[in-house]
Amino acid sequence: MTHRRRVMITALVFLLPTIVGTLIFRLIPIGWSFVLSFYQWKVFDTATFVGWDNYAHIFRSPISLGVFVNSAVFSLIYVVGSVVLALVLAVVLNNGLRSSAFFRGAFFMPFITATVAITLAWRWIFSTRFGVLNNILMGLGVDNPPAWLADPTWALPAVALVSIWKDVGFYMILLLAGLQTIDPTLYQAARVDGAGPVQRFWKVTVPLLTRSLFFVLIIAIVRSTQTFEITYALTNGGPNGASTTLAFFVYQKAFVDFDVGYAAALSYIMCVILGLLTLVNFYFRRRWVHE
Amino acid sequence: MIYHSLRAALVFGVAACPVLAQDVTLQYLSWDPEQLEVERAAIAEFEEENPGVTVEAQALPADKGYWPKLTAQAASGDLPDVFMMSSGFVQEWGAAGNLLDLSGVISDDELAAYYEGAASVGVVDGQRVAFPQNWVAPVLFYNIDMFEAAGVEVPQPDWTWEDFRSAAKELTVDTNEDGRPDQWGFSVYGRYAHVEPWVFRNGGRYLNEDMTGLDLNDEAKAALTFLTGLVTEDQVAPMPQDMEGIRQQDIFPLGMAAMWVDGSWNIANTRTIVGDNFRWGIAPVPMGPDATEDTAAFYAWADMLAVAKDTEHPDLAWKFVQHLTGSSRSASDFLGGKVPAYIEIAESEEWLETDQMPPNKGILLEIGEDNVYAGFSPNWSSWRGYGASGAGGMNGELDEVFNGRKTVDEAIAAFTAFGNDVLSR
Amino acid sequence: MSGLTLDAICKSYGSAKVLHDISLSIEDGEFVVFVGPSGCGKSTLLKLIAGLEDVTSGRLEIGGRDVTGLEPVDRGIAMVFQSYALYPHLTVFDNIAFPLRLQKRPKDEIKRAVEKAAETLDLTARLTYKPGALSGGQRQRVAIGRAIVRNPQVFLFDEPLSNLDAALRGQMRVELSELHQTLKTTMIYVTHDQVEAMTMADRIVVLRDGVVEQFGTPMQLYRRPRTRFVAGFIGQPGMNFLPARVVGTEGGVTAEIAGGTRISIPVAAEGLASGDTVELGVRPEFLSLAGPERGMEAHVRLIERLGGVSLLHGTLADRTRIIASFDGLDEVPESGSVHLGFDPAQAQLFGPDGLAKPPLAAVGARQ
Repeated sequence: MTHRRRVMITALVFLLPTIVGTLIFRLIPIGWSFVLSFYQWKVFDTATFVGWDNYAHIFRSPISLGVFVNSAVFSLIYVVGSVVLALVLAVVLNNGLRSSAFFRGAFFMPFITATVAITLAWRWIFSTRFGVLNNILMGLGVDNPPAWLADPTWALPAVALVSIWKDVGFYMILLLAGLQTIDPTLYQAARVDGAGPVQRFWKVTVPLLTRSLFFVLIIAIVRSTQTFEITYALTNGGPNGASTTLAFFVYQKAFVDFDVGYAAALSYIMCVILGLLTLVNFYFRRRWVHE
Repeated sequence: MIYHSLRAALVFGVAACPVLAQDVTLQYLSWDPEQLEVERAAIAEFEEENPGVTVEAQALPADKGYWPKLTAQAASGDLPDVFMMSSGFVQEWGAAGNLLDLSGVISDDELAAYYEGAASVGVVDGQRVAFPQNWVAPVLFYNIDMFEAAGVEVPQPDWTWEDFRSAAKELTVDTNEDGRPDQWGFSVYGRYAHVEPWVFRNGGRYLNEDMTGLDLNDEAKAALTFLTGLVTEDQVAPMPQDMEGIRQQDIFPLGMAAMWVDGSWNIANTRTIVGDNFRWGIAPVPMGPDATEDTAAFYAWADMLAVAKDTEHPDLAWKFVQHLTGSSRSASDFLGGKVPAYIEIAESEEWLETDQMPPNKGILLEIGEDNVYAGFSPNWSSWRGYGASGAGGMNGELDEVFNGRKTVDEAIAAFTAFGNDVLSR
Repeated sequence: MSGLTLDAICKSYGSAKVLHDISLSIEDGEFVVFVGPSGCGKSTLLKLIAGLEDVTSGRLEIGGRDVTGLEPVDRGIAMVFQSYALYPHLTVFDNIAFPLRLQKRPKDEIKRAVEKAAETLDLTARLTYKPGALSGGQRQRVAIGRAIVRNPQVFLFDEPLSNLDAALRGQMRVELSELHQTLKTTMIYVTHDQVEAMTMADRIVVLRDGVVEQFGTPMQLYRRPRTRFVAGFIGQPGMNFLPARVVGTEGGVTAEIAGGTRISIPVAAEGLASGDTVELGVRPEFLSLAGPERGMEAHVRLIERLGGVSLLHGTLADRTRIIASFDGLDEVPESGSVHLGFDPAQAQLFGPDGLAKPPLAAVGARQ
């Protein structure tokens, strides 16, 4: 056996576990669930072929259309909120706040804290009658503060708020790293040229941060579609489905209602939407990201 | 050294195998870890009475993986021999062909020892695919101390809905006059155990004849109007959204409301939380104004055990089921408000627990002998909105009415449409 | 009038004082170089003049205006940074136009100004390029262009040639000097390279540890360094320092150097007494081959032949290293011992305090 051949086979042997694992746990299930989306199956009974029915139902039913709307609204609030907030925090920290190491850690903490613990605390904070938030609001003179988790208008923003709070530290670290690659003398040059702090931010910081911003944006968008844990523990998708987003809806359909064909169809639609979003992002990348 | 020990162990293990091969293992899956602990004694007893039989018992809480695990096992053809089956799902599982028909193995005499209503829930399409272990029914909990303080007579079995409503009004107290009652007369949400008792006691029904769609009769609509009115107009019960942050089953035991309708299984939790703080009792849910003795039904259903259709030991499995549900159990195994399906145990002094709150558990027995109705259908949990707060389910829609955001008619229209959609798929 | 006046400028970072009482007066149109070793405070001083940092105490005037405490943009200055600090995401045109756009000038005015600067700096062909596509020298010019368009009263340069290779550095030095002649604007230039200082400056400020050692023309610094530090800093190869002992203070200072040779230097004795330890400073070009009766004996270590000049590296009797430079065509022994002598009038004498003793002729009419 030639040396080259031996090297190839060794490489293959080392790769085999990963390949097999990926095949069994990812690729085959992904393909299988596409097939499944054309069936109606409760898992414990036998599957019935229904063709495009699942997909048709998804696009007809006001419930599932409402979920798409919820997802869009949530993604908008989450992405804009967390990226903007992360940018502000990163800029503040980068300007040499004293004990910035402490703040870096503090802002990052929620990201690595267990979601269950976080949502328990926030459930209590949001509690209508007994929560800290409403008590503060009432103290400030707000007469009828909203029932955050039980009001269809506020449940989704509440979930978005907790999600932003949890993730902003992570995005902040990414943007902070990007900020620190910016040559500080550029700010001095801009100052000499006559740029005030705000102008320096928009004309120097932001353009040179576009690579990091793009990265953070993509991650935030993808994460926003995957949101599940916080919804599950905070509102369970309620009230009356007001805070149900796509990933949570797929879970409900698959593991609560045991309607796996429907859930599979939903997840493929989700996949298509995400794919389109990413394509759009990459197309615009050439236009606004400075290399 | 280690090598020799391993080799010896292997030889010994192989030699011991023929002995094990004769033994039988029964798999048993439960959704109640606390109850399983209580059942361990009965299981050990069964193993003694049947030498060579080992029971491998496991418990997974219902909301933490019981159903997904069972479903996965059904799909792979690997169901436990005996497992718990709820009234809400028995029809789907029976129709799917996963459950063994037990009609042949139980005689009429044996059957008579069990509550008829409880046993009938396990019959799907003429096949007895599940057997009751215990049954439960929503009852009216009431705080005796609060009633005495207000000078109101405690709920009686012959109460009308108006009696109830005026009592609730008397018991809603706002001591500091800040517009927020410090004590509510009643507590109610949109969930099944809060609403159905009233609806069925008024002769109301949700489903049409062949359970293919939702078609609320007028009695049902009247009941829903009454219930929602208690919150939105009479204001004797808090809006569910105001109570966000407190478990709904703790509102009554914490002394926030004087009355509460929920399943009898809550007796255990209520005891724990109330402790010695106040005296309380239970009463049957009052009969509605639109019902007659014939049309009024008590809402009750059974927690059952089923045997896998393709089990290797059908006789042994049924024997085990009998053991867990029948005379070999004692009253102390059935905690709180779970009524043993085996009549003899239910009627024993021990089960009645007259030395504890509530002092009148016998009410449940009377309910069991009366007209009962379960009202489940395939996909029940989906259209009822039970568990997950899925949009359009009855649960969520009714809560919107309770929270003052929709009218009863809007909600009924919404969940009827949703329910019909679910039932048609 | 766009001269500069620094009046008792002090700068401290916390409790660390980095600039002590700097007072300078710079004429309009002068090219002044701040030079010194790393950490001497020259860049800090430049930043204070620019306004990028605040003075701890003292006053700064530009063009007769008190600009202490003003923002950089209000001081009438422009700055070229060591790393050029070009905006990498903008084209050359936009980089140069940047300050003008901030001032909200009309578009055609901006276009004209940028194109003019580009022409002056030979950048017209590169206006659409981004800095990443330019060479080091071209980037340098863009940075200068960005400074030029602002028509400042004072140009500030922070070690602009440090990042260039030797050949380019030489070329850019000439270009900058020519630029100064063209624009005739006051320029302040910071460098650690004394060659740049000597060749480009009208006057040089030598800084050490936050203090001005000497402020004068290049030739003044070369011929008459005020301190031992300046003497050793200016000149390539550096001045030779011979440890010596004072033996007489009449009619100049007589000092005994290694090997017992006694030399009388025509400088004022000024507080020196017999027995004091001093240093004689002699530049390499003033050392010549001499006979044993007049010169110091030096053991030849090495000859460096640069072509036009030959450098003789030797060691004296007291182990002091010495360098003598000769014309490249002269005969210079490669090894062994030589005797080196020098004209006392060309030597400096440094007292124990490091200060040079002034020449007798400067003190009064003596000789």
